Amino acid sequence: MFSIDSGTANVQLRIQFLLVIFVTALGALSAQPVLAKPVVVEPAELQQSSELFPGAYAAGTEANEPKQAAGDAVLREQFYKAINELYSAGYGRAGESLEQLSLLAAEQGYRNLPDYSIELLRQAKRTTKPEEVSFLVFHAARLSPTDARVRFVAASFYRELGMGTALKHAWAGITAIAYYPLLIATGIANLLLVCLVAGTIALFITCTIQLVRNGEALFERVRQGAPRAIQGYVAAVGLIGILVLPLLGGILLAVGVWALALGRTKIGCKWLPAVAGTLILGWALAIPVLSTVGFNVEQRANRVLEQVRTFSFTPEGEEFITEQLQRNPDDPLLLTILGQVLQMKGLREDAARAYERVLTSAPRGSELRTTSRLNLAAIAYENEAFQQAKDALLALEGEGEASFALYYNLALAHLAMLDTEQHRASYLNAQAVDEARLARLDAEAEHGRRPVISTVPASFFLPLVNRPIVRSDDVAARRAVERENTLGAALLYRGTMPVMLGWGAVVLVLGLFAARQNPHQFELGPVPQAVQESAVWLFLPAGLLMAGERPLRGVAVLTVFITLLIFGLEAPVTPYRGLPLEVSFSGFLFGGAALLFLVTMVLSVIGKSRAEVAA
Amino acid sequence: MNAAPVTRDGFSELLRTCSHKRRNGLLRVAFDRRELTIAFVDGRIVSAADALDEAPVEVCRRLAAAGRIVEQVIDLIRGTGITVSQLGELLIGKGYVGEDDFARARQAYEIDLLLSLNDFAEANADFKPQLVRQDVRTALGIYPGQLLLDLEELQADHGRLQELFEQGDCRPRVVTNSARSHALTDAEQQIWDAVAAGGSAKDILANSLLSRHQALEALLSLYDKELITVTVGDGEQGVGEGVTSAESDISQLVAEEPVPHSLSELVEQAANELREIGTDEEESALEEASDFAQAVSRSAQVGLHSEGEESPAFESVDSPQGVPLSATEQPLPLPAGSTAGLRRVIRAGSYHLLSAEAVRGTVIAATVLFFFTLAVVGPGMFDEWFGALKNFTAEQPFE
Repeated sequence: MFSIDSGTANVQLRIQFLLVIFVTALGALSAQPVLAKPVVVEPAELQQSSELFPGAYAAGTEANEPKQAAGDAVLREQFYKAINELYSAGYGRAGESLEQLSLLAAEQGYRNLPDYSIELLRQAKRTTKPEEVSFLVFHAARLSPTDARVRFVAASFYRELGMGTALKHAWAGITAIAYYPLLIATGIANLLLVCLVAGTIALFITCTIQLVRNGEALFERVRQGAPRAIQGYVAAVGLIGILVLPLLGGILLAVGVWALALGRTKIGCKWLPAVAGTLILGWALAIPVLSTVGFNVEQRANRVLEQVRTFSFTPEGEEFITEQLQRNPDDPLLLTILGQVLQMKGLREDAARAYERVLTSAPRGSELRTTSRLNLAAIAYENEAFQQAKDALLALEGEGEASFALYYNLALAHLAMLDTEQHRASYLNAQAVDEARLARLDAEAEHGRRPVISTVPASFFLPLVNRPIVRSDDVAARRAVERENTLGAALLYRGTMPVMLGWGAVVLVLGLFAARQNPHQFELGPVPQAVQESAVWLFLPAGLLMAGERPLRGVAVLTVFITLLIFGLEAPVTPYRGLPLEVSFSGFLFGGAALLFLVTMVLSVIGKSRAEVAA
Repeated sequence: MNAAPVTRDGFSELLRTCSHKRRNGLLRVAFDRRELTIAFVDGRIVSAADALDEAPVEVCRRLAAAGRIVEQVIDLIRGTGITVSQLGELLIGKGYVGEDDFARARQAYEIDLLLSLNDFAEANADFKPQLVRQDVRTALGIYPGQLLLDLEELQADHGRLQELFEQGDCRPRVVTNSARSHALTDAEQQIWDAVAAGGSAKDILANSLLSRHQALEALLSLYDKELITVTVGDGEQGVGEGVTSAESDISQLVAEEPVPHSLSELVEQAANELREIGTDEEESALEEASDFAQAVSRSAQVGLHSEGEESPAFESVDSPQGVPLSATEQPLPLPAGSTAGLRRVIRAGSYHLLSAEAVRGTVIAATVLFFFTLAVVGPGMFDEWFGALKNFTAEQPFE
């Protein structure tokens, strides 16, 4: 099934390379100047001999030369040549050049060219011609087919591309998002923050409406708890105090007090205090977490690591890794990623040295060691040391490793040694682990197969995302604490984390007690319990759910409604930046909010009609 | 609050207004040296009380007349300050009377009070809006329109009733042995049973647990349906057969059957129960309630007799069916001293704040104040919050 002939491939590469140089030289005459000097990664620390596979890496060094010669500068020149052709020679020539750029990148081991894709998308945002937008977005996606960020930005051009194409881009982004842990972290942080804001606003509005509607019941409840001789005074002052004073202590104090009062007064509101308590606790716990995650996902270091991990062309990233390694030469994560970059670029000997450093520096049992051993085996395979590759992979399999990279590379090694039976078994194992990925690799295997490079597991990004700010930057940590305290104080009087935690716990506990009250404890004598519902409420978001007898559901619906609006407006909270460009899905979001509003209004009308019929 | 003199028509209009506007509160009517207090909940009459009556005594009297309890109980409770509700709990709880019988006796007493309004030509009336707590088991629940109709009916039938049933030796007798096929109302059935048992109209009226009006109307209805006849002296004003005196005696014995205890045992137990009510804790509670009730009654007196005229002795409403939120007990003499006076003023003020109008006003004032505070404080609060949020997530926040 597989056909591997490295000699033929090298000849093909040389011819292709010469053609590229010729075309590039012509195009470069009119192209923009090269933006930056190509990065050549030569860490001084990596001058060690191989220990695991002596002699396994030297054989392939020659094979690296064409790729390395093409270099990053060629990619840049090719890109700007394509851009120039777009405005001088039309879409056809520009498209050919961009296709050529993709091929060149693939030859160097890059799956994605996110910088160039983003540049095309940025250009698409500037232009007003629909056909040009379509062209640019199409080629942006072609240059970075598995980059989730690029795909999501491409989906934001749904007006120009049509809904079907936009949804395809969005789906491609969703399927690729698992490889972008920082993007996932950003999304979760944004969702958490916006939901907290929306939930607080929704609870505030609902409590306000419920208080105004149930003022007399609240008065009666306060009266019942007061000494008999002064019930009138206590109830009057208490009612005013409950309504007015909490406003002076911040929104979390207000919703907490109001929810507690309503929870003791109206049976439909009995779960409101528990919700309010949870919300306050949520704020108290979320603020420091959001602050830390927000800081870390914005950090260049983490973003570069993520890009490199996904085989994206990021000269800046490689430069950054080199710099970082000079500071921390024994950092196993950096070494693993550096090895991955070098291996991807065809610098197999250097890559092997990096992986060997990982084996000496990473603790036993670390997944980075396994990753490095897998990649060392892949390098051995590429250097045609098939037996050594097979032995190394079998050793890993014997230790319990069962990844796709292991089985796929083992299948290649078995095939290279003409052991078709074992090849078949490993191939089926790989298929069992990740059938879709295997199908994709099969489809791309027209010109021969290469072993899969094992990447750093996504779980290694969790500590990076949660890394305390103070370990990165003292000044930034101080400012982060200031910002957290400012937000806490804006939410609650003296709203430091302990205060918010305490207040949230009090409201939650009292709320849970309120929720366990017997229904008869809500009977308030002659105070009218059921008020004729006004049609005015139907025209509010969440309608009678919020204003009527089911305020808890109203809070939930209103929270979703406000969440959609906040994401659409990007106000009052600006979400953390997860995508490289300013993109807006406000049309969808506002549409969703309007739909929710209409559905709720219809439900309110139906509920009101039923109640009237029942009455 | 001033009590206004009203004519009969004006009083009818007042009742209709209370009904139409679904009012909650107490209507005090002073006429012919009597003072009735009528409690309204959502425009319906739920109870009535006469300031000059001792309601528990009156209820007991009716129960005793109907043979449900012995008359000694009346003497036992007189002057003890026990409320009708407490009396009910005592008698029902110990099984002396059934819950339905007690409720009938109580409602009958209150309906008779209401129908006594038929007698006045001019009265002073004062409606005081306030929250009223009702006992749903015994509340009258009469619409004022129905009361007015009953009053009219009573007036229209007055001549016939007097002629037929209110003569000294009037004795109704049943015509048939069974009245089941005539679809009688509960009141008619009770009266028919009483007539079948024998006795004079006066005894039947006094011994039934129905109100006088209900009983008379039932008698008249049975008479009109030709189910009973009436004899005055030796004569006869209808058709039918009487019952023997022996049967009457047996009926009277049967009527005494519901009494569960011997006379001496009953009196002793009732006395014990009343002593239990009079423990220190209860006494202090009653005293507290009485003080407060007195403050209420004083404020009511001010309303009823604000023009300097000599006010008759006015007692607070002893009406557990329609109890004002705090006034439940008979008043006791005011404690002397300025502290007590201050306490009275404070309590009276507190009481006024609990009236329906005051509550509504307080709620409106609190709401207005709330929105005013929100308008003043809200923008700053939200600006600060949104500003902090924007700062919190700003792009490149630490550079």
